[in-house]
Amino acid sequence: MADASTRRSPIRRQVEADHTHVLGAADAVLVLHLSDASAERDAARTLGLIDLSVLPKLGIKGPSAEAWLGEQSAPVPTDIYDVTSFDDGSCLVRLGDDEFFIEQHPAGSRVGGLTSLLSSPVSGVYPVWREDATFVLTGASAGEVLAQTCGVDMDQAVLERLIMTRVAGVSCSILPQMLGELSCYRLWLDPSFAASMWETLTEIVVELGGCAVGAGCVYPELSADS
Amino acid sequence: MKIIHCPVNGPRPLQEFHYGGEVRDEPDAGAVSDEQWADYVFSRSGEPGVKVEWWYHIASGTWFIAERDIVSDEFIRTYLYTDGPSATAGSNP
Amino acid sequence: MPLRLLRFGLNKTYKEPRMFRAPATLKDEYDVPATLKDEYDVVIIGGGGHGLAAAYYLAKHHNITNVAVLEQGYIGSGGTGRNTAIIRSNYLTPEGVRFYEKSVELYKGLSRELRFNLFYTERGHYTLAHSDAALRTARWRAEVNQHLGVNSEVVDPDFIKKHNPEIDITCGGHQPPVMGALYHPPGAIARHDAVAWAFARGADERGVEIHQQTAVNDIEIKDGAVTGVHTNRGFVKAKKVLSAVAGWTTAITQMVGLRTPLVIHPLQAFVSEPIKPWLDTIIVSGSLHIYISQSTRGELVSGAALDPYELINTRSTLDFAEGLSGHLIDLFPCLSGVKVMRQWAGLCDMTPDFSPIMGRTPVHGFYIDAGWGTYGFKATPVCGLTMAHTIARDEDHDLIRAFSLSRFERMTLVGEKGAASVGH
Ligand SMILES: Cc1cc2nc3c(=O)[nH]c(=O)nc-3n(C[C@H](O)[C@H](O)[C@H](O)COP(=O)(O)OP(=O)(O)OC[C@H]3O[C@@H](n4cnc5c(N)ncnc54)[C@H](O)[C@@H]3O)c2cc1C
Repeated sequence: MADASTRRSPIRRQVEADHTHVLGAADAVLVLHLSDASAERDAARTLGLIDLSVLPKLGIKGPSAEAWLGEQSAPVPTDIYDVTSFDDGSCLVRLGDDEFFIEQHPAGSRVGGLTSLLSSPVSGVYPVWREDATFVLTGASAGEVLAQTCGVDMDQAVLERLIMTRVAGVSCSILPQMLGELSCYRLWLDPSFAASMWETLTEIVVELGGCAVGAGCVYPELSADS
Repeated sequence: MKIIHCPVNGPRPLQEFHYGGEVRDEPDAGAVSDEQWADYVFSRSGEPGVKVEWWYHIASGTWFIAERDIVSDEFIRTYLYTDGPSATAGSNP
Repeated sequence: MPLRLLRFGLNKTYKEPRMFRAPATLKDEYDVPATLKDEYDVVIIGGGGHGLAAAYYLAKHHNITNVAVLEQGYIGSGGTGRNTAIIRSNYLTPEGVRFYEKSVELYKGLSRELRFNLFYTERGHYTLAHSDAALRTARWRAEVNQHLGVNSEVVDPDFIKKHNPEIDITCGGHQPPVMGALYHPPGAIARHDAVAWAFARGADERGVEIHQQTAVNDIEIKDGAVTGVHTNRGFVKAKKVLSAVAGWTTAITQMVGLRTPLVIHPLQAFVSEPIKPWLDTIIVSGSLHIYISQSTRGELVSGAALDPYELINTRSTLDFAEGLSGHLIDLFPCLSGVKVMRQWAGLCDMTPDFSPIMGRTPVHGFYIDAGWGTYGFKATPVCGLTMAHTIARDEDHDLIRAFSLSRFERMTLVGEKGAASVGH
């Protein structure tokens, strides 16, 4: 399995074009702000679209997956589609009886740690290489974007519970969540659809008066100027 | 919009699903005659009525069973293969 | 207003001769013959083009006229009146090419033979290829076609653009660009209902009875042989019964206890508002799952691939209209302002190899003409011709041997998917 730090966003060319602040090494850039930070934070409260695809991810499968995660003192969710957080903020999603998905917090290190633990075989536990793109819709109008593109009624959605559905014709996992004060929808999807999904979502977001913003809007602790 | 009840994900629009065809039990290839094998491979119960079918929820990768009237297109019940018909996920309004 | 129309409007009775007389003395005001005979030499189930053509050729070529065509609704109400009228013979297998080529040959003489204008017009048929694989299939088809004397060749994007100036070869960048096409100059369209009416009149003139609103509810079999059919108007004896019901076939085969690979899927289509003559060819794109032509009335007639799951129902869906419109605009951006006027569906009886099921069956005296899927309109005359032969002689016509129901048991399929799945 490749080193998690070499991840690139499948849409980095689209996003990086006019970034101002970035975090990370040349290959794993997380764009903190695309323009003025405080203007962006304002925009994000109404409607923002963020690319977090560089965050390292890991799938874990197998009959012993649950027990093994427990041994790593992971907060294993009990119900399918429930989501919990590791101590470093990384999230853990239960996808099935013996199937899990983890995405690392921008300031966390859990995926790297678990990946290296699994570099030598563990009986009944199988790592799954995940390269999902991660997009986040933020703000008061975020639900409207999904109302236009997805068949599930997000007004009925429960926070921190995963929904697997279709957005703009593409299979996606959606996680309704609060990031700081902002109500958000986190989207995970196959990276081969990322470029067209980003385009589609940007078009709708702009139509609704929003814009693409940087990761600093939802992770202010990362911003140097905050 | 046509809604199907996925036993795992609940009611979802038809567009989220893929049709997998009639549920058919494979006979023991070594034990049956050539005609019986050809019948298994090719013949289908295409007549009007209620059929037991495989359906797939694409986004979550869930295969499940649906009992569907192929004339009215009514989904009578859906359930996971391993759970059997008693674990019905609900029918469509 | 033409005077003739005015005279019609003011008249209490309908002055024109009906398309077919039905047994003249028997008919009531709705043209339903009051009684069925007790027995016919041949009963044909289904008054679509195929059933009516079979009746016509039974009378014309075999002098068998004690024939009843039983139609549950009105003639042409099935696939015959719902299809998009494409006629071509550029198929993939030698069996298919020979068969459809015979049909095209018959079609060409049909308006004259039946004294009925079928509006048969040759348009030139393009099957666009947007990938290497599609281009390879096009070459394969061109080779098979040319070998069998069918006019068909692979052409390049310049040729396509020259003859279809409005086409966007690049598909606006939304789809893979057009790399070439299989071009079949004799590809034609015709007026579909007229085909049913013309065969009906031809059969009727030769003594065949056509009974509309007459549904077959069961088929009587004794010692493995057909003895007659039960209808909503009583029992009718017949030793020979032809099932020519296309999308209803699975209900009929159940009556005689035959298992087949047939499953029914709806196929949808739409027409636009009429516009000036603009497109004089027939364009099919397998990759985009669309096809389009312009009718003599100016409507753009367009359709796509089969609905994705089994259903014996002619409902229409918004999904279809949306998907088809999107892809049409990829290919013809100039159509973005044109309105869709009507949308409908028909039932298609699909086989796994996209070839029909024709000929005798294990039930003696029960003949089948089915598996017409999305491509049976073009085969109407040749089906009538070959089924009439098969019924009259109780022996499969040479042209349909390969399409026998027994081919599945023998594992000798006739794979036409590459030539029939979108370009009907
Ligand atoms: C949208 C669409 C587009 C198509 N486009 C093309 C095309 O471009 N080119 C092409 O070649 N083909 C095309 N097809 C396919 C073509 O329409 C059919 O294959 C063809 O019409 C079949 O003709 P038929 O006479 O066998 O059956 P039909 O015309 O369907 O006639 C069968 C008749 O049987 C009657 N019937 C059924 N059950 C009973 C019963 N129990 N008792 C009495 N009567 C009964 C029905 O009412 C019906 O009238 C298309 C089909 C559709 C739906």
